Amino acid sequence: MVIVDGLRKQYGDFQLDLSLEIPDGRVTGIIGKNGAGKSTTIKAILGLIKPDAGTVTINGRETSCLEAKDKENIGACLSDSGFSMYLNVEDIIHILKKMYSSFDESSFRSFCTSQGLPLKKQIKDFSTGMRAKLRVISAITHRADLLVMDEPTAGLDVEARIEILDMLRDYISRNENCSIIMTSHISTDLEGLCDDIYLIHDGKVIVHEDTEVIKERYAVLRMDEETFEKLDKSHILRSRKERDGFTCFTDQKQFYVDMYPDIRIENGTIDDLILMMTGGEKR
Amino acid sequence: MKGLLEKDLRLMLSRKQSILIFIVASLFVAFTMDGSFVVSYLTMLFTVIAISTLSYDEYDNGFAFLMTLPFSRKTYVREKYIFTLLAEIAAWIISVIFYYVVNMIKGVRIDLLSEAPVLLMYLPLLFLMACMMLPIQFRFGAEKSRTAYFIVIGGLAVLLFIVFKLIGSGDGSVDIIETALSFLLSPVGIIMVTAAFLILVAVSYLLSVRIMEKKEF
Repeated sequence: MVIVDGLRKQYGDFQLDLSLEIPDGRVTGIIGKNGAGKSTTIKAILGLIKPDAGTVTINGRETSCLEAKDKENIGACLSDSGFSMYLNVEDIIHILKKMYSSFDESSFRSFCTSQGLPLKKQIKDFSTGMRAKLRVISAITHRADLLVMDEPTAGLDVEARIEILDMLRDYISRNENCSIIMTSHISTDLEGLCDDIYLIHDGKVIVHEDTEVIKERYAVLRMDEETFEKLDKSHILRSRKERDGFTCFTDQKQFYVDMYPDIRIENGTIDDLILMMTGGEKR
Repeated sequence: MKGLLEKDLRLMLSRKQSILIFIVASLFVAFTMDGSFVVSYLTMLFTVIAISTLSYDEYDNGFAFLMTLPFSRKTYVREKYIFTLLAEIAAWIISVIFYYVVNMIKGVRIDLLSEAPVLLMYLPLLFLMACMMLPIQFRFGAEKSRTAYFIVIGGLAVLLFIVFKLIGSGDGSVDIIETALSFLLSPVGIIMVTAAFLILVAVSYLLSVRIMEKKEF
């Protein structure tokens, strides 16, 4: 279980100040715009940065003083960092074999074969997609209980993204107690994978909700100005003036479906959640 | 630790062509130059190559991922010192063999036993050089540490110059150096030099650990 309690970190004008909880067996997504604090949160969870205040613990142990055996249970995948580009896959296999007591070499090799990763080529000659796949494979082949993935699909084409998500889905199905924390810009990646979503904006959590709840209860309402004026806004989270009327965001879709049958109501997506909650006017 | 040693060995071997060129060049040095210069040359080269694995770790923001692997930051630092020492010893053995074999081919007889004290001295001296470079590299990273080296080496050179100048200005300057040397080779002197060496290594290591533990990635 990962608990981020009152984590505070200051970088110039930017301040991260948030709390999260990722229970065992959950897949949690962290979304937010660029610079919202997603990667900083991930780094704090991995013990790569030290909080100015607050604590980050994995199974009760502070992440800034994790020991080797604690780290064996973590599989990390960072968007901008990996093994040295001068190594090849064969080198990495030998290194991981000595690093992790439960490294599964045969599964690593079979992943590499199925994903078309050459064993003898230096990583610097890999494509972006191949590097991303290698990072994910390195994280999921030592039976980690916790996967921490920062933008594992960023900058990839649809095919590579689907392949990476399939690898993660397969890992979840084979390791029921495993937890995953994942950040992504691509909301559909998270919608299909995560049990719950944290939306971070300006270093703070502004929404935490189960993915199913977002899909079922959150909605976008579109209407003209006159309807907007008369609208009961008690369940409107955010609203925004558009060229041809108003767009509102609610977490009580059914209320508006029942009360305002004439309003155009669309099911909420994670993209709407990001756009409205970080851009719309607060009600 | 084993995984880190494996990584560094493989990083070093990723430059096997350059290493081969260095070895061939050192053979050339052994043939053309008299004395045991080849031993210091090759040993120093490998020490520097071993330290440069740190730049490879740092390159492309590699530290962040590396630090998620199962070892502590202290272990990472310890491994760098051990790896550097192992590389240095390996290079020393190879170069001593070169030195002996090449001179045998040239028909020069080398009494390794009588030369041993001088040849062995290269090991602690070059390891001290590594102990000076490592904290600088941990603190400043590959790029900035070059400037730091210049400053440190320049500082040392100035210091030595001043020391020699002070000794040289006195009347019995040769006596001072002779007395100093004979003291250093006395049992008490050897113990003190060994102790100073160990203290310097310990200070360097503890400094590097402190630097790494404070770092954020």
